[in-house]
This record gives sequence, structure tokens and C-alpha cells, in this order.
Amino acid sequence: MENFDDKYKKRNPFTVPEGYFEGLTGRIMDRLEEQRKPRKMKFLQRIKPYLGLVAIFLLALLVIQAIYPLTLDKERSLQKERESQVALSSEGEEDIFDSGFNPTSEEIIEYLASEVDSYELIYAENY
Amino acid sequence: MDFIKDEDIIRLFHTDHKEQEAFRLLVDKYKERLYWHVRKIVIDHADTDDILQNVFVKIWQGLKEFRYESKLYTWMYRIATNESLNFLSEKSRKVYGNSDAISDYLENTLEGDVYFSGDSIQKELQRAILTLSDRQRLIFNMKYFEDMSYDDMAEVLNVAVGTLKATYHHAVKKIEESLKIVDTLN
Repeated sequence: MENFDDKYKKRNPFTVPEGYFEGLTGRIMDRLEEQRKPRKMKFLQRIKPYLGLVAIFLLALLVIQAIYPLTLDKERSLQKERESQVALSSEGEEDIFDSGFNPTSEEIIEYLASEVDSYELIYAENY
Repeated sequence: MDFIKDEDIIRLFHTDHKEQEAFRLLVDKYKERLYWHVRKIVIDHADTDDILQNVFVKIWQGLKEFRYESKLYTWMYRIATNESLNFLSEKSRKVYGNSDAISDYLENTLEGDVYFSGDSIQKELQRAILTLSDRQRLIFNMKYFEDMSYDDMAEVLNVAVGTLKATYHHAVKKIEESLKIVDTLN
């Protein structure tokens, strides 16, 4: 170690720019002063917490807009289906009843009398 | 400036409206010593300047809670050491993609350092120091260049004195070996 020391002499080989240490204290104190000042918040920083909420709201709006027309379309197609079924069933009714079928009241009574027995008629007259 | 005792500076710091004055005294007393400590670790002057300013900001922030569990100056050295090592590991991760490439980064920094006035022998020594591990390099620099006592080093690095002595001994051996190889090559 002694030879080692003789050769290198513990000399510091690094240097600094001229006057560096003279100005160092002032620069450090300035830096501290900067740190201690309450920073003025920029407009963007102030509204930053609300920006997230607005973004969520807009996203929700977009999702609703994208989904709602689909359900509307489904409802419309269901409505159309129902209407067409009604139309079909009314067509069927027309097929069952002949347009020329128009019985007189005597014909109806006669038909009913043939279908109902005498006991039922007596019961209907008394009550 | 060294004649002002640390205790007096701390007392002044805790006096109303005297914080700044006390801190200015503290900076004046320790700026050079801490500068050279950081500079030996990170090599580059501009990096040292940045780190040193951060170190003093941290000292300022921690000084209110400082309770003399260690000496003031070993506490400040610990902050400076941690800041420097964090800086190096972050820098080598950014430059080389991993934090283990510190010695490559430092070797390049040493070669390009405009604030290096040493001769070729001094440069050889610095190159040899860079072959040490971070821990060995730190201990070697603190003992060899800064002449710090093992007790103080133990406080700064939180390592037992025996371990420090052994590490320093190994570091010196390793440097001597590196320099012998250089001598034979020359």
C-alpha cells in the first residue's frame, strides 16, 4: 500500500469549472426557494380531476347511442312481425265466414232450438 | 467555515425565522465535501451538480425531523450516497437497458470527462477503481481519497466495521492487480 500511495499520492484528478463552488450556495438556496413557493396551478391542472368524469360521461353516452338503435330496430321488427300476424289472422277469418252468409232471426231460432233440449228451454223461460 | 459546530447550526435552524440562515451555513460547510463524495461515485461534473442540489433539497426536508440518531454529517453522506447510487442505476438502465451496466457507463463517462486533470497514471488508477463492484468502489473512495474513519463509514453505509476493513483490503488488492496488468502491458 505504501508503494501504491507513493505512486498515486492520493491526488484528486477531477476538477470543476472556474468559480463553481463560489456560486453553488446561492444556486442551492434559489432551488430551495423555488421548492417552497406554492405553485400556481395551470388551468389544465385545475380542471384535470373533472376531465376524467367528463370522459366517463361521454363514453357512457356513446355506448348508449350505439346500443339504443339496435334495441329500437329489434322492437320495430317485432312490431312489424306482430302486425303481419294480425293481418294473416284477419285474412283467415274472412275465409271461415262466407260473405254471403246472412241468416234471418227465424233461421237462428230454429238452429238454436235444434241444438238445445227442452229442459234447457223451460229453465231459461222460468229464470 | 468548518469552525461552526453542527449542533450550533441545528440550534439556529430550529430558531424562529432563522431556518434559511442556518441552512446557508450548512451548505457552505458541507458543499465541497459532499460534491467530491458524489463526484467520485458518478464521475461526471454536470450529473454531480444535479445530484448535489437534490441532496441538499432532501437534507432541507429532513432536517426538521433530524434527531441525532447519527452524526449530522454521516446522515448527510448517507443521503448523498443513496442519491448517487440511485442516479447511476437509473442512468445505466436508461442507457443500456439494465441497471447492472454501471461500470460500462462510468468508463465512457471517464473517457469523455473534460474536467479531469489527472495524468495517465491517475487515469489508470481511476480505470482500475471502476473495475471494482459498487460497494468496493464506494468504500475504497471513502477511505483512500476522503480519509473517512471506519466508524463513520459504518454509520453512512450501515455496514459493520470488520466488513468495511475486509472490503477495503480486497478492493486495494484488486486495484493493484489491475494496475500490474496495465504495467506489464505498457
